[in-house]
Amino acid sequence: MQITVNDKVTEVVEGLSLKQLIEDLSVDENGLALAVNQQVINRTLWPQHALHADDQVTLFTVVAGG
Amino acid sequence: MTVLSRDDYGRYSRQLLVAEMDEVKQQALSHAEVVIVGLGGLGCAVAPYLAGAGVGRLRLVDGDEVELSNLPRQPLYGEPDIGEAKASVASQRLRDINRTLSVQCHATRLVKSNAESLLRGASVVLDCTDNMASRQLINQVCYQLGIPLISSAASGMQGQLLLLHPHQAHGCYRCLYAPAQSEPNTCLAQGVLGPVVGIVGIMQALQTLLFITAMAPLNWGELRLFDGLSGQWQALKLPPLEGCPVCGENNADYS
Ligand SMILES: [Zn+2]
Repeated sequence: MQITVNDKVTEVVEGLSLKQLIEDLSVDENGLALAVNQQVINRTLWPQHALHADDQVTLFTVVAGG
Repeated sequence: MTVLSRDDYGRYSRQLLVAEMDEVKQQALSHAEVVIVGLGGLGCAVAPYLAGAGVGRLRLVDGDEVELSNLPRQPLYGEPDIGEAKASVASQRLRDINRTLSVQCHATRLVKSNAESLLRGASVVLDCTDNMASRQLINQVCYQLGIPLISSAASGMQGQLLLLHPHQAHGCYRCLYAPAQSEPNTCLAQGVLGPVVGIVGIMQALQTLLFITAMAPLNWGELRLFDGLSGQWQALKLPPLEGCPVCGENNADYS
């Protein structure tokens, strides 16, 4: 199925979890946060959150500077 | 009904001409008390606009001193201020902008032992700090005291703005980031471009004025991401995390 990750169309297997997606993308989980369809998903929920076709995933990082 | 002095009419004439503004809203600004925690790039952007607009009481909290490396993005300070306490220099600048205000200067770092007394009584708290620990602490105390919190952050080319109301059912800062999450993006680690931090701080000032005057309802529970490279903003919703130790009791009816 197709999803988008930061507006880039990406082919993933049906029912992929957010946790697996992050591992597959091999992005640094340190300081990472994400939203699915403009809704923030807390990192503790990533293993149990299954993706659906056409989901829009937004990856962003902790920004704490001032 | 006349509620403003002749001087106030003159001073605030341009903003009073804005269709959504009026004298009653101007009065609301003068009765408001805003706490600004952190007087770096964000605080320097937000503070002069609030002072200029006539926010009656400003409480400034920062334990740092002005350094040379601050000057590219902290326009409240100049070279002669290097080594001086940011809170006292900023207080003086704000009084120069608007002598009708009460500006409280707290040249101290906000920590667990003083956080409650520094934040208590505020109409709204503005988090302009530069580290995760302070941000978690401010979030926690604002929820404890029931004070709305507008939190801004910037580093590199990225900015974030978060609108939190403890009496509403959305998530809080603790629902967004865990305290143990490291900050790969602090100014020290990654640097920041002045206008990026300025844009986020000025957006924070605008939201603060909208809130105090009730010119427009704020989208509480919204996280806005700013990308300095594209100039684009993106809005995300922050749902509560079940069992959150900070907002857990407030978020039972989120839908
Ligand atoms: Zn929370």
